[in-house]
Amino acid sequence: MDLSYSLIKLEVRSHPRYLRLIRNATYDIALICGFTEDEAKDLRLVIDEACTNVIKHSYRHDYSKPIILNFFLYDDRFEMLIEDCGRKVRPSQIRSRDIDKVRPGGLGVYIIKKLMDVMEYDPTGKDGPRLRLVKYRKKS
Amino acid sequence: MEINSREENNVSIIILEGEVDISSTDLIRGKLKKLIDEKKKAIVINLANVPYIDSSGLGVFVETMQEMGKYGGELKLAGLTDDVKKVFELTRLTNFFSIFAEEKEAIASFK
Repeated sequence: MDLSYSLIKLEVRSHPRYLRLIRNATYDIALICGFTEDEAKDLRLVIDEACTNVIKHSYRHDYSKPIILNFFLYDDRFEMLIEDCGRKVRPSQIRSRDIDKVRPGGLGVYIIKKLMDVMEYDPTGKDGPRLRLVKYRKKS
Repeated sequence: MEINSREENNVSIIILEGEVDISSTDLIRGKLKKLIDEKKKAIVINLANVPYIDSSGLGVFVETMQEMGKYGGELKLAGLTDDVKKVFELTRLTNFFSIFAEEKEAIASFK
């Protein structure tokens, strides 16, 4: 399948009940894109963590707001752009915590950074904050 | 998410079934909070039927472990599926929790 460039778009409400749908869609898209099952599972976890952060921090548990997911499939990489219309946070606030200091919470960003090659947060999007996540395909 | 529980040899066993994310963490937290309020000293969470967990779920277990630590109690985990174990490894929580392959081993470890 020629995947020189392809876009898949998904828009859901910010309700936790849609997380499973988001995870499963991401997993399937990653497999279509040629990632291994383990890599697809990693991407499934990453999108879950990113959308959970939107629900918790950007929308502060308002479950009626939109989350827009854009999946860009390139030959060399897989990109996910997550857009929301919620509260903007300073990019410096999006940081992973010291993993050796065990406490509840704060692991989502650590997981995303650990599993993705690029994580860019842009609070200046026209309609709201955007999170860009990139995973490069392993060279065979 | 289905949550079942029972007592065996003074150990409270919580059996979770289903995916763990923020849609289920309030339910799990509520169940565990009851046990903490009763100052239960030994809790085992059986995760054999949990195919997926995210950091929200991990957070509930860390919170419970820390609360139990205040009165000398301990939470142990059993039956982690490969996918769930990987998330614990990724976040290095395998060093924080006592993790057992089987529920009965986790129960026996409290003796």
